[in-house]
Amino acid sequence: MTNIHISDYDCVTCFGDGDDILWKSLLTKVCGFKQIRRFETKNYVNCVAGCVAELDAVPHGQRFTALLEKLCRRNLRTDANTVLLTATTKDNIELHERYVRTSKRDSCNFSACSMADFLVKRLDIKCSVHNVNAACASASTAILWAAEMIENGETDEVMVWAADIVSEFVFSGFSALKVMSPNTSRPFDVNRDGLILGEAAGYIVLMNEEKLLQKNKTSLGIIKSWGISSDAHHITAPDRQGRGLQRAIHNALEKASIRADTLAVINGHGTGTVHNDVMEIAVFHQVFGDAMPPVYSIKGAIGHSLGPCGLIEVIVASRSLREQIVPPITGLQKPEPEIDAHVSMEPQRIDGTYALTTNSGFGGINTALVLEKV
Amino acid sequence: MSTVNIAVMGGGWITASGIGCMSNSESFSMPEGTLPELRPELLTTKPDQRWGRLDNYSKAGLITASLALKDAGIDTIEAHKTTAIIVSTVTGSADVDRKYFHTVVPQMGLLASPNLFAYTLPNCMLGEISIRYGFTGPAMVLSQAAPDMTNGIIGGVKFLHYGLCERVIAGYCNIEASMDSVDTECKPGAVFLVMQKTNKKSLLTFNGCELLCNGSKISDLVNLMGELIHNRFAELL
Repeated sequence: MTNIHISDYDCVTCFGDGDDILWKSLLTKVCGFKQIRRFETKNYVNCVAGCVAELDAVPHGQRFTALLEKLCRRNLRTDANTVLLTATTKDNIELHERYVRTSKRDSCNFSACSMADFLVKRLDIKCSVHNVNAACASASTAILWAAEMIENGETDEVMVWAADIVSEFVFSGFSALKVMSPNTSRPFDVNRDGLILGEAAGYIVLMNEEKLLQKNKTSLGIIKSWGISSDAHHITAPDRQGRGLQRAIHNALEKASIRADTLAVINGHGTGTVHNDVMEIAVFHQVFGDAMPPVYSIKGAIGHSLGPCGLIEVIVASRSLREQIVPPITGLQKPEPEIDAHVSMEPQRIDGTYALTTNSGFGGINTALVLEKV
Repeated sequence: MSTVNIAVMGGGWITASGIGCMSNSESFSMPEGTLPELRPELLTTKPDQRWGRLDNYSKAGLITASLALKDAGIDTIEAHKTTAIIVSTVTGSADVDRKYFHTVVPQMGLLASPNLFAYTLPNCMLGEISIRYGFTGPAMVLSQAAPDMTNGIIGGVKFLHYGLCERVIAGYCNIEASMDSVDTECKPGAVFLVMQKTNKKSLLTFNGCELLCNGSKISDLVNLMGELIHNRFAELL
């Protein structure tokens, strides 16, 4: 089996640039939600989100690119074999908003994958490019596809980028769907009442071992295995029994040839909605039983960033494995009794090699990635 | 790297020139123009109760999937092999995006439509197909700006090659968007193929990097469909 190494990553979240500030904020249970300033929120169920503060000053229509540009400041090197996969749910949706508001056709050059176009030029990508849309599992789907490409020898290096911004388009939609909390995000809490949106961007570079050594890179972790499965149940609501997520996890564990009880930690999707969290809790019990490891979610701190959430969570999970610490769940006050013994309001020490991250999205798609500590 | 033989079990389409499937068509074309009206009667099995909720992109995808599955002889709702759905698009859900945001603007969000919002993710069309047919395999939409309309088919073949699914519905779905699309070479229409690996000699082969048709790299979707129709039945299992 080819080792799929994480050779580099970076991210921007509501806490700022990089994974250091994100990790420290998670450990100290800082909540990154801020009052939304970029559009009027008086008719929506909430007025906060995990916004990147400096994007508020960026003109409407340019925030998405500005978010990507923050990550491009690093001197990223690609070569002729570097495949680019991008993941987003709504790309630069502000252009679409402007189109509807102004009806000026010539003012809008809307593309569902402007991120891919932008990065191809910015990073001088010469190899193939794909933009993956699998709702909230977009980034994790792109990562597992990238891993397959490397494992099957299509290429030796893939860059996965993911991004979404907080826009009125998306904010109004989640408000209308009544899945947004009027208060705050409390993943796995008995009093949870919905999600809080967030925005984020990140990239992760995956390569095989030969390329890692050739480029003299240090491995930040290994994407050990993966699984993906559809619910075939409902386009916006999870299957109560979580059969799709169960299949995804089983496939990932089987591919890794590891037992469920060898996992050290689970990064759950943990949106803080009533139905998602109860589904996940049921699935974790079904799959792990008494061997369920500590479970956490970072969405109580940074919000639900949609397309990129899976990528940000891989970054956090790999950090968690390296540090051997499980971050606490920001917003958690009174855990659901069914998962009380496995979630924590304080950082926990672990001693283990493998982490599982899961994501579920509209359309009924579920992914599971197993990470291995190097 | 070993070559994988790909059996095309069936195919269906909706283009501006009409509705068709591989087993009863003499030709395939994909002109500019307006797609036929997307009526529930076009589904090969009973109309969906949710039909009225679907946006046109999802309707086109669902009808085309039903045509392709019937063409492949597997359009009943039953336990399927692990079936993936991989579709490429240019404008995706842009049409319903526009309709949705028109419900947001007038009353500053007060009248935002949750029903329309639910379809503003292009992969929800795949969810509708998976619900109707019980497909539990991987599902993703590949958004693209390039005029190459074969990305979904190539992606689907790769997922077969990886072993992530036993069967795949793969293709292209792009309805006329009500706004300027990024490339006029991307034609309106939906074209889906039902494919799986085979040990027999096949027209389509995957060499680990490229999808080949009759030994040559496929140039575009229209040519691929022409080749498949010309050689139909030659590789049915």
